[in-house]
Amino acid sequence: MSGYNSDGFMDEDYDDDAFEYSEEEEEFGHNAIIGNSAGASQLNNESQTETQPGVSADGPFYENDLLDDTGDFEPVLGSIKKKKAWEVDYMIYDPEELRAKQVNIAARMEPLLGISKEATRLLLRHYFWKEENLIEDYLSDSERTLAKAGLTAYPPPPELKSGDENFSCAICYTDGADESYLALTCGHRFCSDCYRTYVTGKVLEGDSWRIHCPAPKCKVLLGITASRLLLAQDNTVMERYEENLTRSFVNDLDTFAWCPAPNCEYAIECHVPRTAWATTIPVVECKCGNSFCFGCKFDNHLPAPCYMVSRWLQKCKDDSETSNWIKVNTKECVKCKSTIEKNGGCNHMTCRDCHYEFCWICMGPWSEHGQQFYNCNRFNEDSSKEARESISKTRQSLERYIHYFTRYNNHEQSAKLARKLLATTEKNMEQMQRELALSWIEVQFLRDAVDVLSVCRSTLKWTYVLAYYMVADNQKIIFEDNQSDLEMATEQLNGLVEDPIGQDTVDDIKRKIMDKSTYVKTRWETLLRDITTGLQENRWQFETL
Amino acid sequence: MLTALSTKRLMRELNQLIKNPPSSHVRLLSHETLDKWKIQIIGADETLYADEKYILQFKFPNDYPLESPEVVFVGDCVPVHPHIYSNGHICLSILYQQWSPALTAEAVCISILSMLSSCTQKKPPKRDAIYVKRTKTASPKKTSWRFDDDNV
Ligand SMILES: [Zn+2]
Ligand SMILES: [Zn+2]
Ligand SMILES: [Zn+2]
Ligand SMILES: [Zn+2]
Ligand SMILES: [Zn+2]
Ligand SMILES: [Zn+2]
Repeated sequence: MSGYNSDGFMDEDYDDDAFEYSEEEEEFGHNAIIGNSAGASQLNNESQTETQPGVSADGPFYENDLLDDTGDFEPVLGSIKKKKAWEVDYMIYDPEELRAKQVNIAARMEPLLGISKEATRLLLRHYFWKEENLIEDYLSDSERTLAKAGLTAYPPPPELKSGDENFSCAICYTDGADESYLALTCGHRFCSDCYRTYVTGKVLEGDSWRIHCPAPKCKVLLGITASRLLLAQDNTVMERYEENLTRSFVNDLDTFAWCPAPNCEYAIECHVPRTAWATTIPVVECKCGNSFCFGCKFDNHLPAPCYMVSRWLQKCKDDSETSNWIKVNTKECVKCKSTIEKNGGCNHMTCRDCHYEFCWICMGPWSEHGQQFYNCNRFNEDSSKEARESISKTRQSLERYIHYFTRYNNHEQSAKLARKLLATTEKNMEQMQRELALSWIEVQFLRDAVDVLSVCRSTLKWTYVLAYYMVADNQKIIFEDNQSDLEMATEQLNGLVEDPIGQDTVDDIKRKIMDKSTYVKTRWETLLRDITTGLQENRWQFETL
Repeated sequence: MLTALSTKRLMRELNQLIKNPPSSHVRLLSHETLDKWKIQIIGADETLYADEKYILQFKFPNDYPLESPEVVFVGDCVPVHPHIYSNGHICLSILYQQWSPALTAEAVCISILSMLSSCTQKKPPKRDAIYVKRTKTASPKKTSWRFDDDNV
């Protein structure tokens, strides 16, 4: 790709697109411009994550703290979590710990480079904290490495000067000996008012250490000390500057990510490499309770890998736009054809008009859904083979998709309905507790059960995405048996949770729910463990996506 | 509302441009308001654009010169050039992320003139039609420009 520079130099092999345009950029306006330097995309990130909080509850953090000596002592940072087969290692950082992390890396680098503390830190940022690359470049040509980053090894402390009759500010045109001005190592002088306005604007756009001298094409970095000097009167902007520094640290490192929960200020460090995401799902749980995928930042999608999830979600989006066959929450009663709305999480449906009892998933009579014959998770490829041979391929694949989508969607909806039910139940709890003389702890079992339900429904939901892309063979049958076991147990637990609780039944129901919860949890762990190992052993074949 | 700084800057620049134009190839045509100017540029002698007349429209944002002006070619005639789209948008780094508050409208005109002068073949940018269709009359500042030039 090539473009044009302001010297009037034109590159002849200008043969690629010089632009990228999207509607969304209107929101970011000026900041969304993509440049050509290695840092351009990160620069972009820095301004796009303005919604990310970064202020510590302990108040503003000043760069001085970072410049303090830490010696050889490296404190233990973040919190390490214990691991199950499907869990990955990660650390959670609060804003304070993030700052300490930066101090430690800089302290480690400083004696190796032998340049000022501030230059070390800016150089690290310039290299996106890739220490090996930095050292390699620095050892081969230290002058060039510093110059390319817009740095000087030992810059004189920046100061506001005045008293030069010949001074004229190229931004506001004020001149004279009275004007106070600042010049960085490049010698470009601007009046302190203009400098302040310029830096403030950049900081409010999300910039921090990347702010450079305002002269055309001058790349000399302003640095943290000079920023503090200019913003000495404006604490709010300086606080924002410090926030931006931390934000840029997290954004610049592949191994760090902000928790996507609104207003959450924690960041996660996870070293599962991108290349492993096809078989390992890097799900992390933030201190705020949000469980998400470090890879794609989507909600916890265990046990389906990221690439499948994004493909599936895209498919659902495309299909819901182009066809109107997805009627998620209403169905016709098989017997009397009246419309039935699903209003509970359980699949055992009873028609309001004719009292026909049936299964929401397969529409078959509920009486056939005995404990040992729960066959609703399967797209029975054998029994319907003949019928499908006569229909077109498109129709076939659509039906296959509907089969999996229905089940996927059912778990999503049921999880929501279970949450709703819990809310209603909680409303009645106070009354219940009064009437039945129960303590708060004693009804906690219901909440716990709904938590188990949600986790299982989420897992089940994503197993249908795995199954959709899974090629049918013996291994898939075993997979579906495990899936069926968990699904069965989950539906039973859901049924118990929906049962009305009365004075005489409470003890019985509580015991049943707690027993079932424990059982469901065991099934859930078994399933996840099995899928995790299966994915890593390439036990299943997946349609090439 | 223009800030005090932008008003002062624009007044000075305007005066300068009227009294002391940088060359005979740059001429202020109009300034209906302080923040909207039209400037005529004439292609330099002995270049592909010699004697050709074009009109540049400058729109200055309220926080000019901290923010760059919006600069586009207007009128019936837009130069055919590998970095100028047929809707008048100009792919020139100093107008976007390489903008400096120490640059002026005059400096922008000179850069555009020199961009025309160094051109060796009059041809439109690749994918001009697609770009123009997508951006229509939107501001070029809403585009994400890519510049592949180590000198910028
Ligand atoms: Zn000034
Ligand atoms: Zn400079
Ligand atoms: Zn969080
Ligand atoms: Zn993911
Ligand atoms: Zn009925
Ligand atoms: Zn069924």
